[in-house]
Amino acid sequence: METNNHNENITTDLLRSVGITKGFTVWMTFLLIALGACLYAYSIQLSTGLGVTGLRDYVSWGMYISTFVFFVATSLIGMLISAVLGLSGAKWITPITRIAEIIALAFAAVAGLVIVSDMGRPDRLINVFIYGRFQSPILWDVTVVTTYVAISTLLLYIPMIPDIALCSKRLTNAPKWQQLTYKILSLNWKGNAKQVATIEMAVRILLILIVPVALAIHTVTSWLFASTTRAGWNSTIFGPYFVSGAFVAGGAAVIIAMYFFRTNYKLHEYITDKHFDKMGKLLVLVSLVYLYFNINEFLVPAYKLEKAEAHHLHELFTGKYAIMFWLAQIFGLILPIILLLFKQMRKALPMLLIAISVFIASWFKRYLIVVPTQEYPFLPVQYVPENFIVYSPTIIETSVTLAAFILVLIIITVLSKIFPVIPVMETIHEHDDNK
Amino acid sequence: MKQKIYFCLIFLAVAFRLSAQLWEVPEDKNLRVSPLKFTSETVKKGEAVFMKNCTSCHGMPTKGDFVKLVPSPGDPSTVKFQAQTDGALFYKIATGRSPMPQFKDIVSEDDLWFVISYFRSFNKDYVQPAIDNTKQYVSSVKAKFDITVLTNEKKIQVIATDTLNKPIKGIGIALFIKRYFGNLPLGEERKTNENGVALYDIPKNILGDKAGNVELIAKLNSEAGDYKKSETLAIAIPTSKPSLTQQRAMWNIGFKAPIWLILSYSIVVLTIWGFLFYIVSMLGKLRKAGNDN
Ligand code: HEC
Repeated sequence: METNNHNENITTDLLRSVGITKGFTVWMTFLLIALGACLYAYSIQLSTGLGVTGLRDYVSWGMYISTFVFFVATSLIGMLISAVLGLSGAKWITPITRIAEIIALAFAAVAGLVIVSDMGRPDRLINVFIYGRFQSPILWDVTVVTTYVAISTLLLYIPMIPDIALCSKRLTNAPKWQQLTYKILSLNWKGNAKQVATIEMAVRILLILIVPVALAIHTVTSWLFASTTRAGWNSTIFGPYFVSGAFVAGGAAVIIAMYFFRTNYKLHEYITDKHFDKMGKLLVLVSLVYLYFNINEFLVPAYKLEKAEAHHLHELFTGKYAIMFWLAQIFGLILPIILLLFKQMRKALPMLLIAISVFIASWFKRYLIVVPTQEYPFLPVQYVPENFIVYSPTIIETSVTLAAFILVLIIITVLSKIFPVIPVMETIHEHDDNK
Repeated sequence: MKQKIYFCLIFLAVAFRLSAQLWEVPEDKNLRVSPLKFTSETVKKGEAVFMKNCTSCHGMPTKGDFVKLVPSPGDPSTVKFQAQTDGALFYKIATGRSPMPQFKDIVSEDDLWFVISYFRSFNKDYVQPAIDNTKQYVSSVKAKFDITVLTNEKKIQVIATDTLNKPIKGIGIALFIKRYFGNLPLGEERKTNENGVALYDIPKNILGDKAGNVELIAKLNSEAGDYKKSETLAIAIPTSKPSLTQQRAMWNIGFKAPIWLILSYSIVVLTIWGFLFYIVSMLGKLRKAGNDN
């Protein structure tokens, strides 16, 4: 009897956030207006061409591609938490698996759109598929991003089916369309043994499948760079370098999301200090791995100091990009590692601040990987105009990039409002198991 | 003493530079005039020739967007070009001066006049001088060339005959081999003998296709008329170098990717998506299983 009561409480608690509230409406209106403004900027780019951006012959991959890399990176966290930790039997992840999956799906899906925003003629997108070459990392990237979005969708959806059925049963006051969505998506869920077995099987396959695909998605993204001979990109460890950096960015994103869901949806009982503590330790771990790859990535070429590499490294360490570079390294890597070693720092609020700093620094880190080396071309062009050599993103370009971030927020907000952000049935089961 | 030598050297260097900049045209060539009347039609044809052969360096006339070479190609609509006689322009285009290519064997004489007429369309003050109708063409209907190989003598033979199959004697014929850019002259122009025959040595070091074929072009001396005949003959060294894009290679189009690459890509993609479709099918079963109880 007592258990039943408790389960009832859990269900009510976790379903409370579902549904359209005033706060949601205000927040969504704000996001949509901001998105509209940014889309206006995109319409200018669409009708005038990529000339409205700072992209020129030298630097043809700028903010957009940096953001693409950043989004793909962030989305990898879904795999780390659900699959790596999940399969290794870590129990504490239950309340944050769905948050991680939502983040993975939102960032991966929008990453594809970011690529389109980097195209002068998006109406020719179809040619990528018609004339795509098996030899080109670009085709592999398109393939693997699409696959990852598909797996992430399934991995978000399938474990959620019991919860959707629950919503369908409980939220009888919800608007018609919402109820209909639940009814269709709950797939006639009764919770009988056969259905439970089917879901367990499907999730198990997905969890195994997502590990190589997630590693592939970011490794292939790194190959877009590493398969050239350009200084700063010409590296054999770019794959693991990117993957380890991805976990840092994604980890930070999950911590930020955890904080906001916990405060806004009053989930203090479910997302506890223990979870922040664990995520803090996880962030230190992945940051240390990333630091290791950073040292490799800079120390080895800096020791050899081959001509183009030398120029590139000087620009980063002491030249034009030095301030951005050192800020990104200190706030994105070194300080977080040191701070998070202290127990007091692994509490919700300090973690939020650290995570925000890591998240922002991670974006700049991608910018530093993508842009500076392009300003030093293999074959210098005669009489190049100044704005070909120095890349500076325009306002339009920045707005279109912002649009991508806003879109991610919209997806996360909508998903977290239609569905419970914490797995209800799993939480109940775990609670029962603990008894 | 030393100073004087330096002085002389500098003087010579400057003189040399000046002469290098001057592009002299022989007097008779300078006075040469077009045998064609310039009309809007010749302008149009000239534009086509220009677009195909010249824009890459000279840019679009009036735009000044010529390539920055030394010496400068210049914009054909400017005084630099327009102040010269038609004959001078003709001479310069025909003979070239590095890096300006020599076009006389690449495009026909008529084409050169067309281009000049196109240049002149940018000059409102231009009045065409009286055309040159002194030329006696051996009309192309009357002349006929026969190009054959004399294997024993290791010669190429061109026989010029008229419509009555009578040999034409004493006309100049130049022989060329067609290459990627323009035509390669095979020695000097030869005059036909009383049998209408002109003989040329077979070159030893010319690369042909798999069967050793090359296209030969016999051209009537331009003073005599505007006739040419081409013939494909196996006189070159057979070379069988499949073009770099013929085999499967990393740099080729998608369909010509290396087999191992297509296979590994397809196997991986099909496996993963196979699993995904399997999982989607499991969802169908899940739905049915709901009716079990
Ligand atoms: C490879 C580049 C190139 C191409 C192709 C080229 N030109 Fe030129 N052209 C030049 C350069 C360089 C000069 C200047 C040469 C000099 O002054 O010694 C020049 C000079 C000339 C001149 C003489 C200008 C003067 O100042 O006297 C004429 C006329 C001319 N080009 C016409 C043509 C025409 C017609 C074509 C196409 C059929 C053509 N060119 C194609 C590079 C080119």
